[in-house]
Amino acid sequence: MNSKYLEFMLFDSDIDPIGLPNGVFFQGGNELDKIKDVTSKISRIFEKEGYQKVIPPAFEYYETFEKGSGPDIARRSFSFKDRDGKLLSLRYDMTTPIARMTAMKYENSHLPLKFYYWGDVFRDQPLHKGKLRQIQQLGIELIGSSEVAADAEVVSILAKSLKMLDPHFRIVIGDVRLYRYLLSQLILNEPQKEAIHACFNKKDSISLKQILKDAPGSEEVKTILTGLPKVVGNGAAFKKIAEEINPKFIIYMERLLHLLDLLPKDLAGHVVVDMGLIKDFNYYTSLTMEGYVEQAGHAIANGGRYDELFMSFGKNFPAIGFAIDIGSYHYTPIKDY
Amino acid sequence: MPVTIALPKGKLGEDAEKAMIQSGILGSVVPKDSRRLIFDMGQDIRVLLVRAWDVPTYVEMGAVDLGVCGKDDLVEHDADVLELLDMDFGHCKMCVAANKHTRKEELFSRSFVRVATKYPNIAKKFFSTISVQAEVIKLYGSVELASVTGLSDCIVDIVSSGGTLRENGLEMMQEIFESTARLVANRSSYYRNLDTISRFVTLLTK
Repeated sequence: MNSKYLEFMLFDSDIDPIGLPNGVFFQGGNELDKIKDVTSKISRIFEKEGYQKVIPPAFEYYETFEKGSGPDIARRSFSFKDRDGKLLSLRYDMTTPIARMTAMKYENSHLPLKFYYWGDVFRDQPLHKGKLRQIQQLGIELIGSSEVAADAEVVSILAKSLKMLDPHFRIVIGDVRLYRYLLSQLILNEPQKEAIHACFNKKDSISLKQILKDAPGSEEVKTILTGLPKVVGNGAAFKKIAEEINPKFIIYMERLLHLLDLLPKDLAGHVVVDMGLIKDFNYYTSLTMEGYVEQAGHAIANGGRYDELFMSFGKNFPAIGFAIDIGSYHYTPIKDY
Repeated sequence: MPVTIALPKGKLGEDAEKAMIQSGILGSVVPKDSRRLIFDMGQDIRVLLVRAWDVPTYVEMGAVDLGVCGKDDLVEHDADVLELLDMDFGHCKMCVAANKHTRKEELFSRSFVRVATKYPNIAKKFFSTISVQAEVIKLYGSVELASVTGLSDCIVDIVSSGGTLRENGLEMMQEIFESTARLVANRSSYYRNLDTISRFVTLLTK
């Protein structure tokens, strides 16, 4: 009987193999070269567009993340205590630390500011689903402009970056305002709101209908809310859908329509509009976006406009940004078997 | 690149296959006379036969583009997939059941309950919503036996006609939710093959 076999026989024993916890991996070799190569190529795109590199600290006060991303997100950060008992968290995202720093250091007269970063973020994830808990991110923040032109700039930069990974990339864009407006027209408790959010993330309109059935509010609002996750289409198809929707709600789509007009023509085949794209971060105020490439079954880029995040840190700066999970496609589906 | 669809083995998969043939997505039946698991169905569709349990995982991770599976499995896995359509078959109910003559009020007011189930996450969540401390015992099939033999105080399982419960002297105590078969898509596949997948959804809706 060799010792490897013995380890399995003694599951509860103290003989522990020297392994790694779930969701982290040791990088090296070809994989590291590939990531380094892509990182430098995309960084160069950011620099060319006038973005300046920043490196937020690896950990900050838990409170910062709670203020910035909301308690649900902060709870999923890795936290530990400082000497004086204050709670600290490894950075869950880059946007919140950069917003905190910007709010401390800069005034209105310095705007607009353009930052880019690369580094790791740390998130607790469900186990056994192949999800990483240490995620390498590369991204930008454009702070100080609420114009649609700024949205177009950021989406275009995302497109240029994703092109480095897959020439057939997709960018999905949405806007959370119509969703939030419809919710505000209904009387809902917190668990109901959370359930509706979960249904939107999965486009589960069957459960959505059931939750809304008992909620007090107008039937018209409920019908539009139930149909929202299915309002998905490429630019031209979305324009047609927008025309058919009740004109009362068109103000919540005008910004997206304007954005579609501003985007470079060669992006038409790459951009999909999804009115059900509401994302998990509380801080998004209008535009939301995701990026997809062939190498991964999930979104490898996430972002949006967060015009109110700075309020948590005492400033009123409109801002928009995205992050690309650069090392996260280490599981690549093979489709040509 | 063909669109790959994961169909569950068993009744649910047969119903799904029927629906896909009727709607014209599949041109013919998937040949089941061999041990093959991968089938090229025409130029642009590939079918994979997968255990029903595993469909959400294959779809979530992007190993396949589309899949058909029960809502019960989706809830248990908390699968991060897009639910595109209620297929309107595979109707069943997730419920708590126990030996006949057990009083529901008495069972749910105990300070501690042992629950046998194939769905540990759902069982745990249900008993925590009614504030009952539950010890969940994970089993892989014929869960009714656990209640009959006294291995557990009750079970959490799916019930379609209720025949199996009755024949083994069990009774439904509480319905948790209704389940049907769903057409699910991988997020990345959905957006990258939006036209094809939307066409499939339209065909299946008719």
